[in-house]
Amino acid sequence: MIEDGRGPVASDLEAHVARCAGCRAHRALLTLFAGIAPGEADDATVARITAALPKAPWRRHSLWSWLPLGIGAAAAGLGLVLLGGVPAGGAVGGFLGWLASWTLDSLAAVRGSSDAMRTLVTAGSGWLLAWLAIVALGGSWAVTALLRRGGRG
Amino acid sequence: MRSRDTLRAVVEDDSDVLRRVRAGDEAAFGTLIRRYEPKLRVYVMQIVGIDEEARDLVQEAFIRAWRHLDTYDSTFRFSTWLFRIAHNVAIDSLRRRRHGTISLELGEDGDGDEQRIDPADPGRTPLDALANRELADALAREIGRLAPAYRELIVLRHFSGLAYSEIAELKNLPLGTVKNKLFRAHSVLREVLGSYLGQLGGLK
Repeated sequence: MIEDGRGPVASDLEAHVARCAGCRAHRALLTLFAGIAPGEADDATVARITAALPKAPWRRHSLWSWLPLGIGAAAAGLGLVLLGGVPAGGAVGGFLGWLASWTLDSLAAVRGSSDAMRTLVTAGSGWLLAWLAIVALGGSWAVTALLRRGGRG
Repeated sequence: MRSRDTLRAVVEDDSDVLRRVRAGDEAAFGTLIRRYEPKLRVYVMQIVGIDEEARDLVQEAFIRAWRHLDTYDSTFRFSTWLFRIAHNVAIDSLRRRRHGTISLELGEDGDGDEQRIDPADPGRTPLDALANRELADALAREIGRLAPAYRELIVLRHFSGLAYSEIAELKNLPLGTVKNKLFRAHSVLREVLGSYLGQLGGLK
């Protein structure tokens, strides 16, 4: 019962402990140990570890987690439409602008995403696809960063 | 010492916190960090022997737990799952270091022999908080002389503050075996520290 330390010790046991040097020493040892159990971590420790935690893995499965990428891609597409082509200067920019306009016309003509992709690929618009992907990723990153900043604030 | 009812309340608390974390209140994980970091740090410290390294390894253990939280089996206590992760992280670190220090058993190797690494530096322990330095030093020395299996149970029970049932689950031992081994370890310590403990005999 001394070892378990549960509840009040019966009076006859208490009397035994009072007489028995071994039991007194045993209880003294357990009392000593009871006083050294660690407490709780301080705020700085909690903040340090919390800051080191990666994004919650179970959140990656959520549809909402794709929202930044969707917004980024939509923003990039809208920008492309509003600008009437790829915003770049010089001959390359002119070429890419023409390519973008031609691609948008093709997209409008075929009215189907799979057909549009086929059109893009067969027309050799790989650069445009790459540009779109880069802008979509960039937009996504930017929106994600903004959301994170908003969350911290 | 915690009663069984108190232990049950703590386990329920952990479950509630985990439910909140999974429901999107990720800041609630801080409650678990606050609750278990000191206990884990003492435990890992006893394995790796260097306090700074123990600090980093416990952080790594929390990160690993966080990453695998969606695979945590709630039929086990969160505390024992976390301690098991911390143990693995510490052992991984020791294996990387090769010449590390450990005071605990590593289990059996491929030949069925028990692997043990002894501490080169006991480092800081909760005993440092004791006002009676002479007693603290004697206790640390005698705990260091215990057989590794007993020493580990003493660390888990008294330095990390785990309940008997938590230790039993963590070490895959019957509860009676844990109680029996701890009683024997206490008895050894009581015998060798009799003169010191005699002075404290009046303590309740």
